[in-house]
Amino acid sequence: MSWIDLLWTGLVQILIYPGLMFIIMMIIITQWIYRKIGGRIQYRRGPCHVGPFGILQPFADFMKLLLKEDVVTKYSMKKLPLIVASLGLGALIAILVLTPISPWPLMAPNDIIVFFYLALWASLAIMILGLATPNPYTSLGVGRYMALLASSEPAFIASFLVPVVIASSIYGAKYSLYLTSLNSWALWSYSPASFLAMIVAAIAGFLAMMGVLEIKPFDFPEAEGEIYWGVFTEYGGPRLAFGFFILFTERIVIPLIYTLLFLGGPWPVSMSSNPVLGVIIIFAKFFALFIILSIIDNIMPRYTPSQAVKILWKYPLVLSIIALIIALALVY
Amino acid sequence: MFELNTYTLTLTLSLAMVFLGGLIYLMFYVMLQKIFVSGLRSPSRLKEEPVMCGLEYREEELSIPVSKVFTDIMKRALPRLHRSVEKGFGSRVLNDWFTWMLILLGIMVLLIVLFR
Repeated sequence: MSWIDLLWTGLVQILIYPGLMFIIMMIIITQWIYRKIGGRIQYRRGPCHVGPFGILQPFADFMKLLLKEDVVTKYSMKKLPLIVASLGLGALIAILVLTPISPWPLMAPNDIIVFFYLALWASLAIMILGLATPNPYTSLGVGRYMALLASSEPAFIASFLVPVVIASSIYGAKYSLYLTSLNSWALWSYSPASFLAMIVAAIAGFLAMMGVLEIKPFDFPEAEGEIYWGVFTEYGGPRLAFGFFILFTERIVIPLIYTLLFLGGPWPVSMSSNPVLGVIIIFAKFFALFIILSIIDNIMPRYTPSQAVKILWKYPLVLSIIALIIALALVY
Repeated sequence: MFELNTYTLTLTLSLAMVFLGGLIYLMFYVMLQKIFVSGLRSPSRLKEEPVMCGLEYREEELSIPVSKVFTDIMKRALPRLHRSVEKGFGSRVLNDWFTWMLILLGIMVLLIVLFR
């Protein structure tokens, strides 16, 4: 394949599928589902006016925010938060090229580290958004967000490493996200030890993912009614739209990776024999996971910061370390 | 599937990230603000002043040291661990976000060495 073909396929991937256009479409669908679920739980109808069944309501809200005047205080940073938020979004979207949902996926030995590096950009961008304004509530929100990240990220990284480590030792996945995604279903049935490592890592990974995505009961950095809206207190208009954009993209990309690593990815179909059906199955599993996360987010109360940090250090971190030790025992 | 080496992949994805980031910034912020919002702008001094409950504030009165919020949460959540670390290293180190990041980096290096 020539360089022009490579450039062409690369541009199609990052701009259309599974890139920017795809993410915008997924945000519209997932936020519609999230709002419908929230509406049903709170005895409301949810969005129902814009587009068929109200499906275009999230897009209308997004455009409304983008088309407002950008108002910032004279003490705030003007351009940096928007640029960092855009880079965070770019990083999250670029991750999708490493997954089997991409028509021409990229892979490299040890690329799981590249995934963690790109995923951290989103967290960094949210922190910069908060630090860019002098409001005390945003500072409180950022302090809380740092505590949340310091408690959930180690467990998130350790638990997501478990299937990668096992797949690399058994199936020669080379610590690659793409190759692990293709073999993750087999890890559950390879041996009792691999099953144990996978189930412990899946539980730890789910809890840590809830922390990283600020899903209740771990949403104390936002905590409306307590510190107004934490990191986003000061924001409205396009800056808030960028904040939402990054939060909602994170809520698509991270659960999708969880689906690929822990829920068997395209299983029971093989990506090599039927890639289209494989991708459909991956999305079916992703939407099931997203609905579960949305229900949890709508029905749970919120932990105080110290309660949440204590729980994240006590359960997901310990469980993920146990799973890693089992995985290490399998490797050696 | 395209198999690259780790460095080329990191560089490719970083370039894709910068390209996408730039495109998002230009498309969703610069272009929309220029086309739709520039005509609606109404500059006012009050829009730029931080106001809470009708009172104006100076920047110094507003700032809260973020690292202290972080340390306080950790202190309440893990009092025993916090006390022992404070005894060994002092509160200045605990308030330093950079130190915490160094510890996390150390753990990651340890994990990489273990799994090699």
